[in-house]
Formats: sequence, C-alpha cells, structure tokens
Amino acid sequence: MSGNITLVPGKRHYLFCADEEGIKLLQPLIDVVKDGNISYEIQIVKDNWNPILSSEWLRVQKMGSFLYATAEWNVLKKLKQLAEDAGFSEEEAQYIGYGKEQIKVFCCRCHGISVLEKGQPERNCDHCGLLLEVSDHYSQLRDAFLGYVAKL
Amino acid sequence: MLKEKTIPVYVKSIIQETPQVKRFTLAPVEETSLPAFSAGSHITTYIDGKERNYSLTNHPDTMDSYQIAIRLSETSTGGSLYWHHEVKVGDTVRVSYPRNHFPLSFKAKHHVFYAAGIGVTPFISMMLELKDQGSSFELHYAARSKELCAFYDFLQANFPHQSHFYFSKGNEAKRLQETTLLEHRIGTHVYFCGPDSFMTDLTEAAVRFDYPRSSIHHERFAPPRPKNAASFQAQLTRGEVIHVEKDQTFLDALLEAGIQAPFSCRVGRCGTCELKVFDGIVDHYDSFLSEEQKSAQNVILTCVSRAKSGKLVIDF
Repeated sequence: MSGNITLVPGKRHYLFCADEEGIKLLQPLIDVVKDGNISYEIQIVKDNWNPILSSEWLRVQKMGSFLYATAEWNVLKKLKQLAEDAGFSEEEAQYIGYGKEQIKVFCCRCHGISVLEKGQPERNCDHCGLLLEVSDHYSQLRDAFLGYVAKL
Repeated sequence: MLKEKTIPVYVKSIIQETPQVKRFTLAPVEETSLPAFSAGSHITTYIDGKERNYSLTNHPDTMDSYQIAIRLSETSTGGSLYWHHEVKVGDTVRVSYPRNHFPLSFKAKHHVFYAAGIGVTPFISMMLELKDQGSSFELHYAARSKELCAFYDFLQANFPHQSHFYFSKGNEAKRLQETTLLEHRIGTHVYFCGPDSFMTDLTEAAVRFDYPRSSIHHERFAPPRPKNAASFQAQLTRGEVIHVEKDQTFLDALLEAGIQAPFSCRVGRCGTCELKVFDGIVDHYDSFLSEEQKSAQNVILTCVSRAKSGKLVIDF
C-alpha cells in the first residue's frame, strides 16, 4: 500500500472508494478527472458501511477501470481484500491508508500471530510470551512479518 | 543439433473436421499411457524431417491418447501437407513430450478466449478443464463460415452458453469486433490465438483499452516474420563469426555452423534460446521478454530476433 497519491493517467474509468476523511485526500484527483470529462464513480464508506454493497459495486466494473481506495488502515485492508476478490490486480488499483497502521507478527517459536502498531520494534507474543523482534521478512500467506527471538 | 527424447505413437484415427482441417488421434506404441499434460499444452511432431508444433485438443486428464487438429495450409512448407496427404491410420510417428507455453492464468476471475480459424485448438483443452473446475469463461471464435469452423459441433454440444461465433461469409455475416474487449468485467484475462494480424490487432486494442499486460496472453503457431529482414553478423566471444542471411533465423545460422545453441519453441515464446548481447542493437520479435528487458538491449532470443545494427557481439 502506498502513501503517495498520484494520478495514473489515461484510464477509461476511474473509481474512488474512500471513507469521509479519505475522500478529502482524493479530492485533487477527483477534480482532475472531473475537469477532464473522464468517466468516474465515487463510493463513500460511512460508519454503517455494508461491505457486500462495495463488493457488488467492485465486481460489476469493467476492464480498463482504475481504483483508488483511501481509508483508515483497518477499513482499507478490508477494501483491498474486496477489490482483489473482485479481480483488481496491483496494476489496476492504488490503496492509500492513513492513521495508525496495525501489522501482524508471526512468532518464530509457537507460530501464533500477534497484532501491533507499525513501527513498534519489539513485542511479546500474545500466545507464548516470547519477546519478538519484528523483522522486515513479510509473508503474503500469513499477512504477517516474521518475529525473531529478541533476547536469548 | 540438440536431440530430445521423443515418444513413438501410432495414428489411431483421422477425422475430417472441415474441408481444410483434419483431427488426428495418436495412441502410444510402447506404453499403455502417455505423459500427462496441462491445458494449453502442445507437442512437436517429427515427420518427413520436419518439426511442427500442434496444440493438444483433448481433455488434460486423458492419458491414453493425444489429439491434434491440423489445418492444411495454403503456404505449407511440408508439415500440414504431409499430415493431410501422406499420414494414414496405423502409421507410426514420433512426438515430443508435451510442453506448455500458453498456460491458464491462476489469477483470472474470468477467462476469455479469442480464436480465429485453427487458433481455436489450444482453447479446447483449456475450456474442458475450466468447465470441470466450474470456472468462468467464454469463447469468441471467428471463422469464414459454419462449414469452415473446426470443432463447431463439439463446441455447440459442450459449451453452448460460452461459445460466440463470428462468420464473415454469408447473408448474416458478422465480424468479431475488438470493441468486445470493452465489455469484459474486472479480473478478466484474455487469450488470443490465430493469424499474426488477428493477435496483433487484439493485443494492441487490449493495451489501448487499459488491460494490464499481465492479463493479456497469446500463442503463436509460427514465428513472426520481420517485414524487411536484413542479413547481419554475430561475433561470438569464443571466436566464431556467424553470418545470418536475411531469410534465415539467427538460431538456424548458429545450428548450421555446428554450434550447440539452446532452443525449444522456435517462435519466441519460451526463452530457452536466450543469449547475452555485449554489443550491437537487437531487433526484438519475441513475446517472452518484458518491454524493460527489450529496452536494456543486453539479451537476444535467437529463434526470432535479429540485429538492427549490422553486427552483434554475443556471449557464447
């Protein structure tokens, strides 16, 4: 996921999916697309958001569409999963998160998963209590970073 | 020349699909079963001193025979002519192990096959597999008429809802339009197979309609032919200077010079023949290297690519 919001030019249809804070971040891009008379749609994710509606909206889109999803990290992760399930590839979407991002760490001893804030260098495993050093070794399968033994 | 292990098979049956297309069923001579293959695979046949690649059209689970369909080419240099006029039921021929340079994407949510003429063949095994898996797919198939449309009855019987036909001859002539590409939903992967211009036009249209490159797949039956091919020289680092005639591939020039150059598909698809280039400008004709790799100008696929400069210096 990227923190940089850049317009990927020349697409035939733009999709903007964001929470209320996120839509403000996307507004400069929406203005460019509006000014250029380019086809676009906006979906705003509110507190009473129904993921099924977003999922249906994403699934009916055509090839050549480009998705911008901007939301608080936890919501954004759900949006990204919905978009990938609908068929959006990495080349067809940009995801922009804000706020405090939570990540998962995979315990090298018990293989349990613990959740922590990104940037936190160490953390005790929720399952076995081992102090883990958070590495940059990321597993797509687990959606988690490998936690090594911090102190022997 | 490199020798690969081949399999002896006998011609079990021949079916006249259309006036130009014959379907051959090949069964094993020595074993009870043949090597397994995946959807989209092809075999190389070795007959009359000629090697030709043909897609396997049976279900990938089939182990007791290979089925290929061959169109009699107007410009045949011997391959299809021999298969159509010389090969009889009971004859023994040698074929390669199956290879797949045209696999189904496991990422696709929906597969769309675009075929013209005999280009339908790799899609038959793909559709049989996808139907078994319950996966989503459709076929757009262009031919001159129903009578000249290979596998028409088979497709109608097995994939009546997924098959769309475009016949260019007759009162109700309908042509396949590239704008059909605009209608495919997100997550679609498109597969093109047919004459060079058919694949080039559709690939360019898909790129123009913002399909990611990774969602576009195609297979060539024959190597692309450069319009204005010129002769050139290749200086090999081990010493030899190879002269490549304008109507000769670089690979053939290497092989004729007795050099054990690597190769497999001969149509610029698999990358087996890749060699490093130290100097000179390569004219790329393959569909294997990425645009970035082509721009770097430091490798060449000898089976199809040539020199833009009069000379290349090759690491070999």
